[in-house]
Amino acid sequence: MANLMQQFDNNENLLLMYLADELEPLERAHVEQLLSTNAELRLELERVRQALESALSALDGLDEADPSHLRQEAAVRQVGRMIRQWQVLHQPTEQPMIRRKGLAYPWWSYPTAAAAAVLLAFLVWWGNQSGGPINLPNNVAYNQTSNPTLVMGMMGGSLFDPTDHAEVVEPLNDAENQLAALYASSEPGANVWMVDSINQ
Amino acid sequence: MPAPAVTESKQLVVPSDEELVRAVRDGDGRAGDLLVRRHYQPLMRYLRRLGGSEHQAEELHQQTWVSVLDYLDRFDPTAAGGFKAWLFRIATNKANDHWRSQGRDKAAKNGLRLVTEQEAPQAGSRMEGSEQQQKLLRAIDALPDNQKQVLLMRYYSGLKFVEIAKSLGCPLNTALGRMHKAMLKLKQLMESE
Repeated sequence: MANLMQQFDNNENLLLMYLADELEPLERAHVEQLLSTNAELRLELERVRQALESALSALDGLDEADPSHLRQEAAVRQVGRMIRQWQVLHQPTEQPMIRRKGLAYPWWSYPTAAAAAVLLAFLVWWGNQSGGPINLPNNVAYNQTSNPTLVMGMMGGSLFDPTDHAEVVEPLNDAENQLAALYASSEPGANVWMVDSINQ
Repeated sequence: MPAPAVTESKQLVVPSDEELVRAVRDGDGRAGDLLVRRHYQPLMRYLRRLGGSEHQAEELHQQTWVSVLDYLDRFDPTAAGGFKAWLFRIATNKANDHWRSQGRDKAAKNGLRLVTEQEAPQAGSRMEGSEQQQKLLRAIDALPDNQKQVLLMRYYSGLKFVEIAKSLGCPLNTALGRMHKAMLKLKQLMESE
């Protein structure tokens, strides 16, 4: 009981809780035990009970004549409409971005692509260096007649020594010298005759 | 001998407030209607007795539900008193805000109401007719706000004193003390008039 009295500031609060049936079973048993022995507390309990019943019954009578039920349906409709509007505004929206968990390409394609990029960068760098593989010598006499000897010489000879290419060009033979001279002195339209004369 | 008729008894399951709140969150419109209908009478009467007219009570009732919707995502269904305690707390705050924003003090509010009722009792906010009821209404109006709130919340919401104390943000002993004072004062006022 001492604990109970510490918990509640006064007897009225304790008795109010007792009347409201909001005490724990053990606390309730303690109060009942005290009431059985304390006449003054019993009188106090009666006073609190009368005041409580008087207030509650008065409020009961007040509500009997309350006309608020007449407007209930209209009010419920109005608030219900409000709730539906709220629900429309708070509809869960679809996820705009759904991230895929897996990789877009097979896993091995990423290191392969990276290696290919490094290799390509190296080749470009190497190609831009002086004396690179595609830096052709300037003094090669490029024969537009596509002499197979020259082409083969370029392919078979050293790529870095320009003198190699000069050596593989063979001197023209007599027939070719003759043909070149005729071609240089001929007029347009005489080509056919020249070819025929050579063949003869 | 005829065979006894087999009667199938179906148990009607009434959804709790918390279940209805979940349904409202999930977009069920009927759940909202049911929730509003369930609490309409006690909430309206509570707001009306707190000191508002019928019109003001309706306005506060709507504002209360607007706030309920505003904060529905933050509602904790495991809190003491559940949805009802939360609803009445919001309603009490709305009523307090209303009177604060009106800038009226208690005396002015009472004075205005008395004048209105004397001039036009039929058109006034109080429809209750008997002399006893008028006396009671005046007695309730004469109570301090904090005492009135505990008394009316206890009566209309049926919440436990512990839940009322939490709802009003005061210690249990304070809520019990206010209730006791309100009862005694009401009895005294009723007997004195």
